Amino acid sequence: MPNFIERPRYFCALGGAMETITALPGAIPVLHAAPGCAGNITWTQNGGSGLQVGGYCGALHVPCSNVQEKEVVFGGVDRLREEIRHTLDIIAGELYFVITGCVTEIIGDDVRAVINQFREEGVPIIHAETGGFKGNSYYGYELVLQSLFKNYLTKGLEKKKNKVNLWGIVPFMDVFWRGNLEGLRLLLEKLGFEVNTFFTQDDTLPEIQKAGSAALNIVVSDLYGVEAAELFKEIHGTPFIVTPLPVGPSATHEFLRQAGEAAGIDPATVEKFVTQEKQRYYKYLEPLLEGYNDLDLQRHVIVIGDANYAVSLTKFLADDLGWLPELVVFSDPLNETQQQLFSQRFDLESGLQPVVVFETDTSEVIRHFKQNWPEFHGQKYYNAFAPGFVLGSSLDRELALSLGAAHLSVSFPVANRAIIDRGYTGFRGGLRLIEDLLGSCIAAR
Amino acid sequence: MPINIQNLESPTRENRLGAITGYQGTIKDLVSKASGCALKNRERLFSQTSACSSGCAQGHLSGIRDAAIVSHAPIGCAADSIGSNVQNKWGNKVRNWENQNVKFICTNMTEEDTVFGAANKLREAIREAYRRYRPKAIFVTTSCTSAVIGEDINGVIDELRQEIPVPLAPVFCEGFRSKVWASGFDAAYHAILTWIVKPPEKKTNNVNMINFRGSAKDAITNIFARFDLKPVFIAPFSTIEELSRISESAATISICGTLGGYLGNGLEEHYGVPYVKSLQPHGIAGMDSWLRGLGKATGREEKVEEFIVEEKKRIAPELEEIRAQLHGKTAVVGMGPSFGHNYVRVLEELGLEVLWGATWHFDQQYDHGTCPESSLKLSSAEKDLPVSVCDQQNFEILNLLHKLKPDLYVSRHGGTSVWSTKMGIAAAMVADEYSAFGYQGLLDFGYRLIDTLANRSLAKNLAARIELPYSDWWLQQETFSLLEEAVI
Repeated sequence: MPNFIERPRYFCALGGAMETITALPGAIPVLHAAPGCAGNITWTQNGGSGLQVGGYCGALHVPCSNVQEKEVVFGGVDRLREEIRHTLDIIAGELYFVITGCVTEIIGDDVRAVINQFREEGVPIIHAETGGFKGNSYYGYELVLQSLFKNYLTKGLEKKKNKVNLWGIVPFMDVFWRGNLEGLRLLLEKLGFEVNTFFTQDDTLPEIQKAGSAALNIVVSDLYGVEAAELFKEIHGTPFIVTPLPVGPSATHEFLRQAGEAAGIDPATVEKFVTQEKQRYYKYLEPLLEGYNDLDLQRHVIVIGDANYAVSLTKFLADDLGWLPELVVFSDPLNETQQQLFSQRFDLESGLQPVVVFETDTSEVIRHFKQNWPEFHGQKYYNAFAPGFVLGSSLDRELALSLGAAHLSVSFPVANRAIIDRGYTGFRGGLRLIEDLLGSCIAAR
Repeated sequence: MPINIQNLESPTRENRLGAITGYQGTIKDLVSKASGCALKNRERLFSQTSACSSGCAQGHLSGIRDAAIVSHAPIGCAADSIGSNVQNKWGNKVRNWENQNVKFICTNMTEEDTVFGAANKLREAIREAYRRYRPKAIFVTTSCTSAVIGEDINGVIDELRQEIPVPLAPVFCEGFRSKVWASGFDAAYHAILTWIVKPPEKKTNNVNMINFRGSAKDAITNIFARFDLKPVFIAPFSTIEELSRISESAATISICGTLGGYLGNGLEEHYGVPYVKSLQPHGIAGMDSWLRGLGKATGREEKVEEFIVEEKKRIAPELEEIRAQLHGKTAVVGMGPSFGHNYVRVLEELGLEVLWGATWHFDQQYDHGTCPESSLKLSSAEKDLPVSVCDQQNFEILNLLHKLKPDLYVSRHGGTSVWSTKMGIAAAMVADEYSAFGYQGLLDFGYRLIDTLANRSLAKNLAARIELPYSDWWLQQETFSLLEEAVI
């Protein structure tokens, strides 16, 4: 892990856990933490999640034990018990999910004992140890899923053929989480699957509780939720596949092929469906191409994103849209094994070979760019990074302005867009992304 | 309690100002008990998250143009730089400055660091902050984690002072020490006062103008110019050079009593720069008091009176029209104490009836030893206003709104007004500290409230379809039933 990180593009494990629980239908996050934790998480969400803050019981409404110096010295277990007791009276929920912060973990409060006491009374309550120092918000998502699979899902259910669970998209960290989940759910449903996606409007806690009956789990991320899939397999016996987040026709084709194969669906059925969808995609795209060509909207691109988007956006730009990704920056802190894994994800059909770097710090991106792209020194023929595009987060606007490039925020933080249910997954998601990319190029018309 | 710049830390507001976060009563009771320092805090049996010193300190300091922040914390405590960055970019934009991200590095404390400490990481991060940004000062902020494990931050900084040629200022702002997040502003200003401000070499006609994002900077510059004074906006969007010279100014004045008291009184005590102790400049009475305070501190009483007369005459006819439109509307206020007690008055000047004043904390006395001016003023009115104090406890606020059913909920600080909308009650959130600033600002704010009340379709439609997370049982309970008795 890096020794320091500039302007982190994520919250801590507690923050990720809180947002994940907020997105879970009927669930109430209960924090055993210092007073400012969720306030700061909310403030970050306010500045980074495409204007989406809170939900049924999120943001500044989350119950929190607000531990003080007294609890640091004498322990906070009594305060937690009192907090939970009153939460049950005041806040109406179907599942109470206790998560812990740095302070209460360092002082060693025995949260499990408190939870067990309430469980014995029949209260629907579980917990996860999510001290902020354990990792970033993507890891907090992982910890919540693990606790859910271990402590909430019914065990020993019979497997249902064609039933799948799908995860790997982190609510609010992926600001397109709703649209991305719904997009994939819809595709799989069209292929005859029954799909549980945990966090959409169509998911419910009673159904989630039966997730153990799925015949297959699909993790649409090389990183987020993979450990949880292993735990799921161990506890409930469901196998899983891991795929990159499928954005646009090429990646979605591969995704459906893989899912179909793992679920034992006739490949011909999958291919027929894909052919239809691709035809629709290109039919819709066709009228845009006159403007695309006449305005010369092909762009050189720097892609900066989390582990999901760095891969998916590059693949889409290179293999579907025909743009020229030159530099790909992973902004997550990744260890060497993870870095190796991700480096292998760039076997692009188009044959392009962008430079791939692992860099958590926004202001260092320009250094990587300069190392790989010749500077102009008055030479007669000069292959400029122009016209250019920076596809990253709103933190990368500074870079885009300095390069005179157009810019679109997709990866967290997204401060300069309002996102509700827009999604980039699937075939149609590819069209949405083209609208947004080309829209950014012509915004000043 | 005098402000001691020899100390490394500023005491919390609970310890220094007798600040409380739990109270229910009336403004007259609150002020009379505070004046005798007889007010005891009441804790809650249930609480919701609030905010912390670290967030406030970092948010404020990261706005200084040429300073860098090194946060010795797990990444979450630095993630709020994303929120601060948005504010900062907005500020850059209104000033036509370059689009620049805040300069902010976090030491990414991990589980291992909580056992073995992370002094080396801190050292490396400070060095890197200097290498990367070439700042004119580096503020090193603490966190709950660095404090609980007892990291020797000062030791690391002391060592590096030999090596790094700009001020290195520790900011002690760990969240668990205080329920009053404004303690973080004091921590930030303590660091500025201790490590940045230099003794005066000359006297200037500058006025230290303590504020947040400074949207009214042009208006203030114009007003002050009439009095031959020049504002220096502190602390966001200032430079370290400007801050180092604020001991030379003719006076200090603030947009917010909570925000400005520590620095204002500190500069007065140590460098003789008079601090204007007045109402906040919101609305007519507030602006009168604020400008007269400034006039008195700088010997410009006559010019100030001329301006006041002129402006009041100018806005009078338009104000009457606005008052007629807002007459009879009822409001509940939920804000920080200084803003809250000032805005009750502002709303009354606009013709509204204020049913309740909730504030996020209450200081029994300011650093200059008296009860907050705005609270005193409010308590001297004929009507005794019902008030409460909670650290943004939304369950209390919503219960209150459910019972009082005002036409309007006027709040400050993100995260509460949306819930009023979910209840179908019109909400006006005062994000900009210069809303209702002075005479013209009062008119503008009046129009904004008229607009807010003019079309309620979104709130109405939303409220009909959205479920609140509160149980029916809770909404029927007495609002303050979970406030414990004060421990004497």
